[in-house]
Amino acid sequence: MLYFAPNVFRQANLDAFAHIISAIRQRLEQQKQPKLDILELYGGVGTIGLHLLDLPSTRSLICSDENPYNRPCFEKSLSVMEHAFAQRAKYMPYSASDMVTQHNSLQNCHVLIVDPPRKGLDDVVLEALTRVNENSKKLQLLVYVSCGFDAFQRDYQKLKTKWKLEHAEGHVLFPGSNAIETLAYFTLL
Amino acid sequence: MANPRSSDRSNNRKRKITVSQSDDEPASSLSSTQVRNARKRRSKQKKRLQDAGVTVNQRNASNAVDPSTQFLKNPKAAPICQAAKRFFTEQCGLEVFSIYQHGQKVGWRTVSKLPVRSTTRDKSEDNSSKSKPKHRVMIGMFQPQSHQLGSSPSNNSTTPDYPAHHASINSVTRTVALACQEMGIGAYNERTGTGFCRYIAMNVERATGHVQLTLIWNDAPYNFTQQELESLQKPPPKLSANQKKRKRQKLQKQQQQQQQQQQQQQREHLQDGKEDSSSLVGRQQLERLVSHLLKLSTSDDTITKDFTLHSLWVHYNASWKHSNAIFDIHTTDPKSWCHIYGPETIAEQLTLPPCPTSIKKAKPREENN
Repeated sequence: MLYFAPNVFRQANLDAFAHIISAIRQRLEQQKQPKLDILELYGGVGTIGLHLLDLPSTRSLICSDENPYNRPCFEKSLSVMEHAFAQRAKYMPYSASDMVTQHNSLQNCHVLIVDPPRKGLDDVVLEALTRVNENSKKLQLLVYVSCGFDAFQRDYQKLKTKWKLEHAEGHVLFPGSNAIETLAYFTLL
Repeated sequence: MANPRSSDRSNNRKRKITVSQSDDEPASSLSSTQVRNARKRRSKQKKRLQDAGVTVNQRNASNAVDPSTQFLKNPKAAPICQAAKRFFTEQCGLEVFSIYQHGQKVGWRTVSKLPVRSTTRDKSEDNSSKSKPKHRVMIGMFQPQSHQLGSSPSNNSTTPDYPAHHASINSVTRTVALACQEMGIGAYNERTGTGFCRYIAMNVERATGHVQLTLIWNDAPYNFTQQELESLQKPPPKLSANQKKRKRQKLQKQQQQQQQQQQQQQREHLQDGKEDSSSLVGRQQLERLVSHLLKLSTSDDTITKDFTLHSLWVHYNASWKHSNAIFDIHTTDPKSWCHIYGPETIAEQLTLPPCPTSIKKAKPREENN
């Protein structure tokens, strides 16, 4: 169950967004690593991350977002979830930039999920991802959910120096509009 | 009592001049610099359009199309979808880039933030009744690249229905616009920074269709006690026809007085720099609007049967100029969000479909339709 106060981000078309979450679940089930530590940046109330907790391969989830109003919603979701799954999750109320710099969070995850706003990844996050071998020996998979295609193209140019695009697909979340949501998986080169 | 420090500050401010927009609009409090900058912005915009070879008529014609309906016939044919396909297959080396569109093509939008503005009544409309106000409250989307409210080609009302919006959003928009009109609520004016109701934000609880409504209010936070909040939620006593008539007359009189008071306060604001001079009027308007909306939401009236609030919030955002943000996210004031009625959060259960997409690289799945 997800909870939304008026001051947190909510996908405008949750019905369609559920298909993206399903696709991510399926991709993680194919990951060879038996116990995955997952980090989600720009995580909002945990719309993606909370739906990965019941996967057998999920060992831990850290979800982060700078909007302080997200945390109570995230924790409310955990409170109504099966305890065994809820105890895998933790929320950190920090920006993506702070997470990768001050909290060195890339060091401790196998899977990184990013769902940035339309402007794309922050420069600091991009920089950290292009120096990922120095930052993390564990990180294997980057899941990028993009609502800003222009920004995705820019970010891709930097990411490709270190990451190989494994798969990408488009989802029309706003039918009738000139908009596309892109789901992409990257693996380390 | 006015803060002496703020008075000192205001005395040091640049002298403001009064600019009258028209006979119907209240005088604005723009400094000479703001007037000059506004003129420069208008001139720049005009030049940009001329350079692009766009006439005003062409711009208006293209703006008349609701951008969320442009590619309804075949959403996957939208230019950005085609550009993405080219990018991934030609530049990224993917063999295939599939595009999926699930669910309904209309009524899918369950989140919306819409501006509340005032519009002058058309001369062709029936103006025989002098009791009708010259301005109407309008709620809708801005036309692309502008802060002009558009009207739906299919519906010329001040609150057009948008096909992409969930039916509950269209219903709440209509009801709030009418409520603002009836209760004499001042819609926000971007040029003058006056008026209290600047936006409404809506979230639909998909299971019930009930709406979490937030009024974005152009003022500093008011200190409502718990008792005051509860009294706003109490249904008003049932009145006879005569009592209703007297109440209506009293309300109209109050509204006129408040408008005069507001204009007087604006003048004082210019002269004295008082920070909170309009708060009393704003608070009275908010109380009236909230009470009325809650009454409509809980009434059995068939006219408002589609209007059911899940909850009601007020967000105070008094920022003006240099900010187009709907929510004042930079404020550190915990009172900037005020929960008035209903549960604090909307609960959403996602039904995860059996995975519709596949990442199997050997045999890419065919696109669905």
